[in-house]
Amino acid sequence: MRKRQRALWALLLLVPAPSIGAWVGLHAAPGRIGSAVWAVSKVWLALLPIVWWRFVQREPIRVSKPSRRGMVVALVSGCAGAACVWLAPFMLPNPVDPVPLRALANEAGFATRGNYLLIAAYICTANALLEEYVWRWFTFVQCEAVFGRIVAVFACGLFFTIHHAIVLARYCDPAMVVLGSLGVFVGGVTWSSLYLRYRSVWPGFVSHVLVDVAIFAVGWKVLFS
Amino acid sequence: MTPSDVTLTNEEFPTITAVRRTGEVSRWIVSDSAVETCAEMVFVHGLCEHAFRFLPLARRLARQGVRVHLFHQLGHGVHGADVERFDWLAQSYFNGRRPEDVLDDLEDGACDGSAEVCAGAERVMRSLDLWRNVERAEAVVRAASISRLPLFVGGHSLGGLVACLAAQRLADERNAEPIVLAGVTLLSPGLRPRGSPRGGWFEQAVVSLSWRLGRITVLRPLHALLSLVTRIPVEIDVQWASHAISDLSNECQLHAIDPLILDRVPLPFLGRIEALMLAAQREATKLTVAIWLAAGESDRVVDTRGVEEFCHSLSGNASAANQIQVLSGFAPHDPLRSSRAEELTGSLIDWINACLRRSPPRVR
Repeated sequence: MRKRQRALWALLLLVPAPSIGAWVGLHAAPGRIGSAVWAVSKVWLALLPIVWWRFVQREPIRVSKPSRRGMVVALVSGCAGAACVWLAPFMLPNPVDPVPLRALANEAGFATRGNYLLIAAYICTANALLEEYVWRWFTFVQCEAVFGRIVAVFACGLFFTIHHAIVLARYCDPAMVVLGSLGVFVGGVTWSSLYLRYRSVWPGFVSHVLVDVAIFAVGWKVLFS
Repeated sequence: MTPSDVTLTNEEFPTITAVRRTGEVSRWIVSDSAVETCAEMVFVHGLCEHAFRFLPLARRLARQGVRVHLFHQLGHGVHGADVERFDWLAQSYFNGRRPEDVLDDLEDGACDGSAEVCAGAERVMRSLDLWRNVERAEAVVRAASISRLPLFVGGHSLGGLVACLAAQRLADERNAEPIVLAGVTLLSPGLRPRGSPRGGWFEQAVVSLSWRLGRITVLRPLHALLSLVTRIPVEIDVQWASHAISDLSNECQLHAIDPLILDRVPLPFLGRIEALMLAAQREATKLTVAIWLAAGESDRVVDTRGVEEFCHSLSGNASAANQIQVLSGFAPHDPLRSSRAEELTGSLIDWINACLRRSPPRVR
């Protein structure tokens, strides 16, 4: 199989998985079946890249080391992103109404401090690492083979956004879905650019964590203060 | 062969009878012919127990004019061809005023076959869809609703959870024939899992983590993965629960030697209970009927924080008729078989009477 064709197959097998999982889990069949499908999609997402890399591409598995310059850029971009997230509520014409957010948190099951900290810990650590490994390393490399470097950055950002939009659509009104998806897309493009520049997932991971921490800090302020 | 109906009589209160009615769900109906029946109550027993354990409560309620319907949950008690085999145990619980009376009968009685009945029940448990027990409770409520009297549904521990879900489903407006209940009675309801006291901190942490993951929508995939652990077909020893059931030594002894009380439960069954608990908590806001709830704060079988979460979700149903009692420092899992049984039974009867004043008999 030619490299480009192989990369296309990898993308076809990987990119729809989280969207299918989120769509079945949240929209089509919420409940046991939905959770099971979503869980299978997560396992697929976690295993496919490494299995594909090792057994289809027959490449060795190497863990990249973070470069000093990469980490500095990661900190700067992460802090800038976090500052945007932190300041965004103050730029709105009206203060954020906590009532709909509390209703959303209640419906989604993280209205208590314990559950909120649990979801925050998961999203900011394990989930951020998984996303960097899947979307910035594996997907980016495959996109690069199919579309070339520059388009790959944006394609990767777009693929990263689709399943987030599906999750947002479950809880938010269309305007918030568009706004949130735009934020996710900008984040995806930024972290893909970091991967392109430094060929390591660690700068993207650090930047990603800082932004996630800011999102959850704003959420905490609105929900519990 | 279909077992025939059987009537148990009580020497002390000859007008109170317990009739075993076979049908879609074989059930015991306890009523007092000397009192005008003013309400119906379906009461569901807890995990590893059986319906006969609540015959004394049924007898007490029958004297107040409440006709009580009891049935064995699937995977518990006796079913099918065995249904007549333990009528002597039903009679013993029906007569027994004190646990000592039942203990005496148990020492004299023939317990032949209890091992195979329990083994059969455990086999059913392994693959049982617990929603079938909710459907059984619904079926019994529908059967009881024929009298057009105000209806109550209640249960203890796992039975409380089943009763809660049955009440939520019965009231569902999407239902072809929704039934309006007069009230729901929950006795130490199982609304949040707890690891066994022997399990140690790791088991407690896993149970707690699984519970939290199951409640957060976007983390449900992780919950689904974690719940694979509960698919392991191992039997869990639950004999320790006999010591947690009451603060009265005779009650604990009775629980330990009762031939129909199971002492092992398949792990997959416990896993499925957690799924039901999550469903009950999610749907709690839909429960708009009056609730009477009693639970010990220090209960070692179920986690009372589940009651708090449930009550928090009920906040939309701030009915004045709700009576929620989380008994401070109180540990017995079956408060109606504890040193505070009299006080709590009185409270339950007062609450039923208050509900009946609000909810007159339904007219055809």
